Order: sequence, then C-alpha cells, then structure tokens
Amino acid sequence: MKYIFIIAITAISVSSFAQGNSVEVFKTSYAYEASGQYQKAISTLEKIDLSSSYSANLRLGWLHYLNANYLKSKSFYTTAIKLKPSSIEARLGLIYPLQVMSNWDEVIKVYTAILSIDGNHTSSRYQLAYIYFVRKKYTTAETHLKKILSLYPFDYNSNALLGSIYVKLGKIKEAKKHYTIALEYNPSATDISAILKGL
Amino acid sequence: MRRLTLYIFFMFLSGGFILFAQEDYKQVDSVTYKHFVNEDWEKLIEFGEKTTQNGADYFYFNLRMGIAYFKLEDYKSSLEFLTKANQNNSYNKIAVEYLFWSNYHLLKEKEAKEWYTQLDDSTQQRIAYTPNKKLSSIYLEYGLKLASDRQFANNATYLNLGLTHHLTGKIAFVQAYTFNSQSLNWGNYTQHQYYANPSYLFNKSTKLNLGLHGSLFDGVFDFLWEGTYQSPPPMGFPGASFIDTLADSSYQINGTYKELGLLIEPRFTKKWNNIITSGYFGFYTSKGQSNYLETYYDSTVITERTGPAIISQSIEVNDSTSQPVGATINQYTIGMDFSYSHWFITAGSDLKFILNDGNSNFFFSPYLKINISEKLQFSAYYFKKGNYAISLFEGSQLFNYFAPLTRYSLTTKYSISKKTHLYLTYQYESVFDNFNGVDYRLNSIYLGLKFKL
Repeated sequence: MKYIFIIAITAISVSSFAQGNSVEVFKTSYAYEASGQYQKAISTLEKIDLSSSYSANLRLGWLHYLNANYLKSKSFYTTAIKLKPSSIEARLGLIYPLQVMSNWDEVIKVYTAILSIDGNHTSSRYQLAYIYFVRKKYTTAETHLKKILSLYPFDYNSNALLGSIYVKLGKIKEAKKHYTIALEYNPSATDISAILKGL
Repeated sequence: MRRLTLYIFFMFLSGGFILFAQEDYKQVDSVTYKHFVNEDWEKLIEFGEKTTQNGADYFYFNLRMGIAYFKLEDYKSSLEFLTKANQNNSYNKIAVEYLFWSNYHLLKEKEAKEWYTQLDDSTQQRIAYTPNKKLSSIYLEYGLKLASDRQFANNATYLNLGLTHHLTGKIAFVQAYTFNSQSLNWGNYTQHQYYANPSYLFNKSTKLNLGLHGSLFDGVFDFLWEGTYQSPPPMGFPGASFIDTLADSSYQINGTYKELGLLIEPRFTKKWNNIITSGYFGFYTSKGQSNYLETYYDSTVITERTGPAIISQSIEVNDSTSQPVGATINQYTIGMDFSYSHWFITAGSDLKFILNDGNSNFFFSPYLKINISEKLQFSAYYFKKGNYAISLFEGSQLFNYFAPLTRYSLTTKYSISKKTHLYLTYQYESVFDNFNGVDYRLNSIYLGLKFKL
C-alpha cells in the first residue's frame, strides 16, 4: 500500500512537471534547433508525456527529420495524426520523411487523405498532380490541375504543368493556351517562352 | 525500498525502450547499403531481419532485402520484401522486375505475367518472357534414311509431330506422333508411335515426369528364295566312280506380323547450378501377333557314276511349313542421366542397366551440346545397343527393334527468330538385320521446325 502511494505521487509529479514546463521545454528545444543541436532538442522534448501530447509528437517528428532519422520522424508524425485524426499539418510533416525514404505510394496516400479532409488544399493537390505527371498518369494529373485552376485560374505552376501534360497527351492547342497564361503571369519565364516557340 | 527503486527504474526504462526500439535510420541505411554494394547477402539479411522487427520499413530497405533474398534463391522471402518495396513506391521498375522474377522462379505463372506487363518496353524486350500457353509449341520433323546396301534394305522415311502444352506453371504435357516405314528384301514395315510425357515441376530445379511411349509395328513378309546346288566335276582317276549331287532348295515367307509395345518410364530430375541429374525406372512390354507361314523345301538328287554310266541314283525331298507364334517380351530398366554445363558447353551421359529375358545389359549414351551463339547450337549423341529395346530423352525416342544398332547423331539448331527454330540432323547408323543376318548402313537427314506460340 505504501508503495502504491509512492508510485501515484511520482506519476502525478511527472505529469505536473510536463504540464507546468511544456512551454519552457518547447522554448529550449527551439533554441537547440536554431543552433543545429537536434539531438539535444529531441532529448529536451522527450521530458513531455508523449502519449497524449500532439504538439510534442509533431515537433519530434520534425526534429527527427532534421536529425535525418526518418524512421522515427515518420513514427512521431503518425502518432500525432492518431492523436489529432483530422490534422493536416501533421500529414504535411509526415510527407517529409516519406519523400526522403522514397515511399512515394505512401506520399500519394497522405496527399489523398489531406484532400479528403480539405478538398481545396491546393498545394497538396498540385503536389499530387506533379507526382502523377512524373508517373506518366497524365489524365489523373490533368483532373487535379483542372480543379486547382477552377479556384486559381491564374496560378503559374498549375498552368505550366497542365501545358506540359497536354504536350504529352498531344493536345498542342490546349498546351499553348495554358503555357500562354503561365507566361502572362510571369513574362520573364524563358523556359515557357522557349517551349511555346517550339510548339 | 529496493524493490520500489527497481520498479521505478524499470518503469522509466520501459518507456525509454519504446522510444528507442526503432533503429536509427542513418545506421539502417548505411549498413544495408554497405552490405548491398558488397553483395554480402547473408549479412544484409541477418541485419535486416532484426531491423524489420524494430520497425524499419522504407523503399530502399525493402528493395535491398528483397534482392538479397532473391540472390540467395529464397524467392518466398524475396517476394515478401519486394511486395513491401512496391507498396512503398510502385513506380520503381527495379522492384517490379524482381517481383516478376521471384514469381517466375516460384512458378506463379499468373502473377509473373501481371508484373511483366508493368515493365517498360525495353525491359520487356530484354527479358523476352513468353507466358506459357495451353499449346506452347509445335514441332514438325521429316527425314529420309538412305540405305547403303540396297540388296537388303531400301530407304526409310520418318515423320514426327510434337506438341508441348503448359497446363499451369507447374504442369506440362508433351505429346508426339512418329511414323516410320521401310521396305526391305523380305517385305516392308510401317510403325506408328505415340509419346506422352506429363510432368510436374516442384520448383525450377526439381521435376517429376512420366514418359509413356506406345508403338504399333506392322510388318508384311513377302519373300522367296530359290537355289540350286551342283557338286563340282570329279578330279579323280579316269574310269573311277564318283558321286554327283544336285540340290534344289527354297525358302518362302508370306504373311503379316504385328507388334504392340508400351514403355512406361517415371523419372525424377534435380538441378544443382550447372549439374542436372535424373534417375528413372523403365518397363517395356511388347506383344507380337504372327500371321505368316514359313516354308522350307529341299530336293536332293544323288547320282553315282562311272564316266557317263549311272551306277545308282537316289532322290531325297524335305518339305516343311511352320507358323511361328507371337511372343510377349517384358524388359526392365533402371537408369540415370547426368549432365554438366560449363560456359557454353554441356556434356552428359545416359546410363542404363537393362534386364531382358534373364539377360542383363549395360548401355550408355554420351551426348554433347555446344551453344555457339544465341542463334546457333550444335548437339550430338552416340549409342550402341544390343538385342534389347532402349529409350532416350525421357522416353521420347524408343528403339524397339530387338537387334544390334549403332547410331551417331549430329544436330544443328538455328533460331530464325525467338519463336521459330530450325533443326537439321544428320545420323549415321549401322543396323543388324535379323532376317538376313547382315549389317547394313543408313545415312539419315532430318529437317525439323519448331514454332513457339
């Protein structure tokens, strides 16, 4: 009985330490990160109760990514998502280690999940379109880009990429149209000018 | 109190263990990369398996592990890691190619075909994989055997049609029909043969097959021999008596002889790198059906003379007719085939112990294959057999003529395309003809075409 009481006191004190000093811990970790001491930043954050802290898991995901430990980075970002299932920021963080580890199919799944949470998350949709373009799935990429351009018709990157997709699909007229819009946005884009001259 | 201290210590330690159970990415990546580049597959697998348990799961790790298992020919484990690698990154074609080869070696025909279709054109052309079909190839061969001694034997013709079926990745079936015919001084014969060979592949290096070969020999006898013997003129003293002999003889054979034969030859084949061995049993049985008559006639006139005067004269006549009865012959064989390949040459031999009608015989047939180039291949074999039947090449060739035969065979294979192959064969044979009791020679030329479908 005496032991149980002591354990309970220990647990409460650890918890109150985490709550009371979490801001300080984060502050310290930022300082270590700024000076490139990622392992110290990580060790500092591990004082927090990781089983319930979304913010600590999210930050540890980032710090492990910076520390080039992508397996752990992935693991902490995944835990963060479990704690906050609709989090987009944790998913965007998860994409970093997945990209470095070439787990591209998982990257696609994460971007798709983001779009199912927020269909207007344009940067994710663009990245997804770009991956499909690289994978030569031009019609899928085209669908995503059209959705972006319905919201941002003057977006430079989307118009330029859609122009390239239409070239691959042999739709030269449409390609010229979108390359021209991209050039209107950025008249000094020499690469687009060169492509347009060649079409 | 000490127990409590230990408890708290273990409580923190367990939390720490959960945190640090996962391997460090940099270490995992550098160690697996190092072993991979050094082709140290065992070490890579040993390290990788521990790492997997600790949560390592990313594209290059899974790819390296899959390739390591593939190199060690553990295709099931290779498939497990390559599948994960493909789930990490399905766009990478290296994983896809290894997935194809792993399934190919595991004889998973359907899966291999699916992965193959995901490869780009240049990789497909390099691999040139042709999925097995129900009818995967057709072979047609025609040949002419030119006899050297026409007073005993005329030319013979030979025709062979073979089909290869792949029912599944593991089960194949080969069947062939062969026709032979020849006319000789005693008549003529035709022989129809049917060969069937179902086989089961346990894996790419282990096979069980059953060679079955049936034959129907159909002979027609139509032979008459007549002769006269006159004793030479006397060399004795003038006026002395002498014996003068005049003999007329004939031998005639007319009718037909049919023989049904069946060979059953189960065989187990195992391949180790560049060595292939197979052991087999053979049972051959034949039943003859005679429907012919043999007639012998002798008439001898013996005359005793003194000069032109006949002192005495006697005539002896022998006349007999017989109808032979067809016999049943059973023959048992135990054999072993061994071949070794090095570089572009394969050498081997088929060894048999044959038990036939209480007589035991040893038989061997050496063979050689030389791959000159991708398109050109030479092969040769030799054998010399006695008064027994033999089979060669998994029972596909059956020599059921119970008489001595020596054969030298040389074949050139030329691949016109990946699906069409041309075969040109020359054979020299020395055949003992039981009827005439003489050897005659055959020079044979065969032309064969194989179409892969």
